[in-house]
Amino acid sequence: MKLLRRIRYLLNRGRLERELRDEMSAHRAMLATDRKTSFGSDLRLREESRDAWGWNWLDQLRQDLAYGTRQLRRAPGFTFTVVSILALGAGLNLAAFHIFNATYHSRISLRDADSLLRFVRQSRSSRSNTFPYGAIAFYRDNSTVFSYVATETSAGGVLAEDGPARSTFVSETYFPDLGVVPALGRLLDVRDSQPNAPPSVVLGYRFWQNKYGGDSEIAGKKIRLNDKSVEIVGVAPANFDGLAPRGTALWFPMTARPYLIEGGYGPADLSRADTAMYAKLKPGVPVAQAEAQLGLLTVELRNRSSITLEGEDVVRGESLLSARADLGRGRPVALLASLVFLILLSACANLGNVLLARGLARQRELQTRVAVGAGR
Amino acid sequence: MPPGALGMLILRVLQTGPLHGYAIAQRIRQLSGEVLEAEEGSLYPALQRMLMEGWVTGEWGFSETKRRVRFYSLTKTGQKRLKQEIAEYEQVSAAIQGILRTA
Repeated sequence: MKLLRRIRYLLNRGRLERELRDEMSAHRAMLATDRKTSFGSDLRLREESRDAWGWNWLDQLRQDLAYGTRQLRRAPGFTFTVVSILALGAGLNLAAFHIFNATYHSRISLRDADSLLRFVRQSRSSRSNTFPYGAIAFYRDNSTVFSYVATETSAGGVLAEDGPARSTFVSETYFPDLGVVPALGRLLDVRDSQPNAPPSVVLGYRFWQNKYGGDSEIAGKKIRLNDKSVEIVGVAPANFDGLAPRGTALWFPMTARPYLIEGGYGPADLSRADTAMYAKLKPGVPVAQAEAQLGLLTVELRNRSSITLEGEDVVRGESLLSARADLGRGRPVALLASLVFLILLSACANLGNVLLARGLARQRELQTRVAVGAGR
Repeated sequence: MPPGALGMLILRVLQTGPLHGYAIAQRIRQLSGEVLEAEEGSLYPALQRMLMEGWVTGEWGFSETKRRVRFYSLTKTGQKRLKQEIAEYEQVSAAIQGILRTA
């Protein structure tokens, strides 16, 4: 009710103010006949009465805005300075944010990005993102909770023709499962993991652009890697750099490891924990159920004793997206935040200085205003 | 006049019937034996506030001297408000008197 009245007062302000003025002047006229008390400044009084309507702030805001605009127009140099300081401050911050965003929050564009889990091993004292490949294979073959399991094994030490190239070994159905679409040719699939399959490689998009100039005839060519002949079957798309982004230049099937790397661990080797495990759960399976099953399988695996998983390890699943966001936490963020803060601080300090100088210049005007009882 | 009393007095003198601003001031002065003065400077802000709160309503008419003036009359919420203010005032006043008598 009160709000409605208030709005009605705002809409009919002109008429209501006239009424108030008439009323008060009638009062004044009657007053004159019997005694003289000071009514005070008519304008001031009306302003005070109007205060009850609750819209004086609006008038003051409008006055301030008009006054500010007038002042800014009168001093174009000052206006220009202030606007540039603000623009620079805001622009630098925006740039810093975009750099940060591009570096740490590269959105992963995958069909199952939202539901993919990364599994980690956790014990009371430590935490590891990697498993022995054999353990993952065992989990995959003996569990019932997964739609699919995808693995990534990073390996340095693959020499391309002009130096080492960052390489990632992936599980047999890695690309088809994740639904990655090649930029050129085809991606790795089950064929490349057959025992007698010719050694094959998929190029990372950036590597293809930089080293081969985006050669569109590249699929089917043979190159030498680690002095072994390997056939390029295709190129990964620009927006895919693996589930854990690391700038992969060469993608190999897991089975190619013994061939490519002298004394390399084959996929059957169960001892070295160097492989990251990702999986999509079957529809309706809660993460806790998957973790429980992996726990049982871990015990069973330990009984077979061919694998050394530490005694207290618990396998936990976490959302891939939040795991990727974790990359951005810690030092880089603190660094960026302080950078942004410094930029803002210097912009504000500059602005403060300029305004202070302006304020000093206005001293005379303010004194005049006080003297004549005008608003400030 | 103690702060806050003006509102209560205005509501009280309106209880007997609609009055215009000048008459309200006069009535307060007369009834108080010329002790209390509803200063015009605070009367109109107070009246505007009451209009806004919905305790009184205003209606234009003509005074005894044929001037166009606004007559204020008490509403239901105004009645309630008056009762409440009187109750509060009496409580405080009794408390103050208690202290004055015993301390």
